[in-house]
Amino acid sequence: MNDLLRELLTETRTNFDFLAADFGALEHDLVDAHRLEGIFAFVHTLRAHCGSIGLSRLRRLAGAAEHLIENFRYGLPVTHDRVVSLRAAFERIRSILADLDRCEREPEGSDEDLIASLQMMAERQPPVVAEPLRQLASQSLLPGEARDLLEKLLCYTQGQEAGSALPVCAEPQSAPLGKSLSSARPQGEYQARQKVGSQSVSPAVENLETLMAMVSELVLTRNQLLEILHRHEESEFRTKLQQISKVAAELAPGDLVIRREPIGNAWQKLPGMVRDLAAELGKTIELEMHGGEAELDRHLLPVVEDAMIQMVGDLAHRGIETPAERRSTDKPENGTIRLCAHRQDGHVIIEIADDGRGLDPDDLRGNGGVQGPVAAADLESSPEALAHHRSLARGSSKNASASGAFGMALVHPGIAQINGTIELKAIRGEGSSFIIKIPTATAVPALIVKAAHERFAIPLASVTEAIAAEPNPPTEGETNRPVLRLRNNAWRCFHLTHLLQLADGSRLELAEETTIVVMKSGGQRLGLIVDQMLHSEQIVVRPMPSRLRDLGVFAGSAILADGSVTLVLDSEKVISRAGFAAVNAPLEPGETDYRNADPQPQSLLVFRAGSPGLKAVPLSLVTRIEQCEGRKLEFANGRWFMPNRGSLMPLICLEDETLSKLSASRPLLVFSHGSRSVGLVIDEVVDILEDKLDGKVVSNARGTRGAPIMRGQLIDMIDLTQLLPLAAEDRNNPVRGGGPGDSVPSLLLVEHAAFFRNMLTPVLKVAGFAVTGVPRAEEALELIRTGQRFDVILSDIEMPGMNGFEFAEVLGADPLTAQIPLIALSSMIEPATVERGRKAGFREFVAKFDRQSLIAALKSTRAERTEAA
Amino acid sequence: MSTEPSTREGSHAYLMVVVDKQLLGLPIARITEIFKADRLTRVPLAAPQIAGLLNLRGRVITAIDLGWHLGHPVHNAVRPVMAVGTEVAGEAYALLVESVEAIINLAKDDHEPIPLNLAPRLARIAAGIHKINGRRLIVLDVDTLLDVGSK
Repeated sequence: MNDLLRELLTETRTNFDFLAADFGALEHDLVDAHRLEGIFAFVHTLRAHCGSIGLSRLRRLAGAAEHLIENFRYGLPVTHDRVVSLRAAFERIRSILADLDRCEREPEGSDEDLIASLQMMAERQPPVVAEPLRQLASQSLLPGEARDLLEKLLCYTQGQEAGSALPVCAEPQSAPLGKSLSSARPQGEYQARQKVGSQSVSPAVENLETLMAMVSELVLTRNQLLEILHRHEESEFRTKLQQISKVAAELAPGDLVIRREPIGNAWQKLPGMVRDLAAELGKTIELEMHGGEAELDRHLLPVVEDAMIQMVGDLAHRGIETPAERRSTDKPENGTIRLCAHRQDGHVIIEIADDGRGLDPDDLRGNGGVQGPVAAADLESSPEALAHHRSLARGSSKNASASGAFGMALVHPGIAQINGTIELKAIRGEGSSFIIKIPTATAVPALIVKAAHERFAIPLASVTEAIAAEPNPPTEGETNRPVLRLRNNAWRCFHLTHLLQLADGSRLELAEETTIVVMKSGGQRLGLIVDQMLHSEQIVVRPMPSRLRDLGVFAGSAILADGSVTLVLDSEKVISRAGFAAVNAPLEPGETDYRNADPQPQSLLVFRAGSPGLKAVPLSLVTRIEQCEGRKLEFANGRWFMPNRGSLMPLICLEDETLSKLSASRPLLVFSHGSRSVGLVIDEVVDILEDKLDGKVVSNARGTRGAPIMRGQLIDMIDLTQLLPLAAEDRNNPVRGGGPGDSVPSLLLVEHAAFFRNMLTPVLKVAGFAVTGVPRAEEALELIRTGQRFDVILSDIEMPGMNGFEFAEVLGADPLTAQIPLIALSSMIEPATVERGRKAGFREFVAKFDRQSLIAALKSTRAERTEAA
Repeated sequence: MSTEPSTREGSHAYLMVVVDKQLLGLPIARITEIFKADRLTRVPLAAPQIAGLLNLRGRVITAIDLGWHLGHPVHNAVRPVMAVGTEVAGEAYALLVESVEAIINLAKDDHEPIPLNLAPRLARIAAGIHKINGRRLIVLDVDTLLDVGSK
């Protein structure tokens, strides 16, 4: 490549980032016209350069853009469409430069369209200039002369009072450039920026690549030397080697952050693009961006940017509805696209989500979707595809789109090349989100394990623990897979040897003792049985060679200290290959993972009340938070009340705090309990946390359920079911409607999650039932077989072993139990599920958190029974 | 392969290698180096002709077993095998062979058509057949060879 050309490319590349920001600012605020300085300097330099090395296409285009900006300086109003046409030219220049970089010559094609539009924009309105300038401008200009003239103009404007040199233009939506030109230092900001730029050098990416490669080779060689040294007790090389070692450690790729850039740099174009798209499509779209400071290797950024542009485009086109459609579905007219980036487990994760209609895989396919997703048909046909491109709508995976929620892996060639993955999740009517996961290219600690004489690396970030175990752990369940039970958790296990088909099962030689490495990926866990755990080591994960990229288990390769190559396992792919995707899907909001003994994450409202410690209640139980004003309170019957929608709401305080100091205004958490509300007086709301609750912690303090530790702080969980009756005296209105002689009806609660059992039992007791809770349908049947009688059975649908439907069918088949009213508890209430449930014998379907419907359903079954009796 | 530099008028240089007693020719212009393939890492689940990965001076490269094309993988042997390094689309590959013989110049118009009875695996990667002192030498097309299996 010719030196001049290389220089041009390097320089323009550095400027592009600044210019994208300039355009963004300019589109946002047309008055911000000194941004044009940077753009002008860019096109001017480009035109001059291109003229000297014979790039005629670029020269003409840059010349036309320069002409337009010049006219801005003479007072041509900066309007939105002018900026848009300038930006179009800029994008074209960028793409031509990209081609130049690849092929070293200008691509074929014509820019007459853009040039014509730029010329039209430049001439649509004769420049309105002040008298002294009119003289200058009246000369017909050649591009070269323009610059001289411009300089004169700048000198002139500098000497003038702000706003007086150039007339304010009359065109609406436009800004007087003159004003900002004269008030701001001409080129000032740009020069300042260039000065900053000159303090850093911009080496070619290849040079850096070479440097990185050499450094990692040095580190590897050092490691090998260290290994050799280990075998020689005393050696004169030792000190020298230690020196090398120290230098190498300082150079180690992990510390080489020179190539990293904040990911926000890849976002700069998006606001402008979204605005354009929204205008074009007649939609109103807001773009929110969070976490742009997360850093990613520089050479990965363009790829990420490309992918994000495609995805944001997809969401804007097909995800977000028109304002009319949105109004009709009770959504705010403004659609929102939210970009979120963060680092997690050695990856940068970017989520691009909207609140639109929820993309359909067909949308992406039918409209030539840019991601080239795997056809939905594949979901049904091949089990392997199913595991990989799993449906999140559990129980109805065969018909993913009908259930309204789905998720699938998408293939994007660029992202795949940098070892990243993309997943699309969508819920019909509620929105879609793309999740891009990109490994960060630095050294990560990894566990080296051995299976069937081969070594594999597992990044420590995805390992939760490693346990020595029997070679053949006990198997459980109908799948007959080994299960690891540990501290109340159960994890399915899989032999790495089997998973990778390293030996056929019959000839598998089992080591005397094996190790189970518990891997995690998102909400999923898997026990991976390996023959031996060797050691842990820092590795640099490299992408798999292109021909080995589709194997679906590996995150990449790495060179170990002894110089040999090892394969790095990708926890997510391993778990999905082990067939867990279908049975152990990632957690969705509002869904509980029963199969996994890990309890679901819950939003907790953390607050202070009374004593200095933190307290929390599940956010889902709080109806609203309001301010209670002391002077409005009434005291009656030894208790405080607050007027609330025509009735009096009882107030409670924790830890025997007296309400006497309620004179000041304090926040109040309102819980609705049946038809009545109760207010809990607190001092302040501290935070809202996501956490997993097991309900296993129990404490004796009044009203507290337990004290889980979250983020290093002890937080008291407030047990509302104990506390609320204290205030509301719910027992004066129990569910049982019968007379005084009526016995307490018995209720059997079959619910796998201990959390829900603990939460519902008091509620049901308060409602007037004697409650027996069991975790599994089999245990429930056993109880019935041993002669226990129940008046109502409340059963979960999704349970390990026998599920709710089967349970209902068994009960229905037995004349003894067929008459017992059955109510299904489910977190997933969909027409298909409800239909299936009714066929199986369930009378009602109630959502787990919907206590009001639950009580209503119980009441109606009781009423029926009383009538029947 | 028309861009290949010719050593003499109308002739090309080839590296003769032996795999399963068969003489194979690899165009010299495509060869980056010859080395001993040491410590190969198996890649489970990979296509059968992929012998594994190896570390060549800090670079992870894919080793292709030429023996697979002749029906007898080279790399089931315990002893290290020879590897011929080549590059396709910016990625490095090592072609595993039993031994490396010599460099030979072959006239372009000298080659015979590929016989119909050649094993399909071999026929697919063969660019032409030459007779050298009564032995048959199969010239391989490196691009096709490394395209196998990648679809």
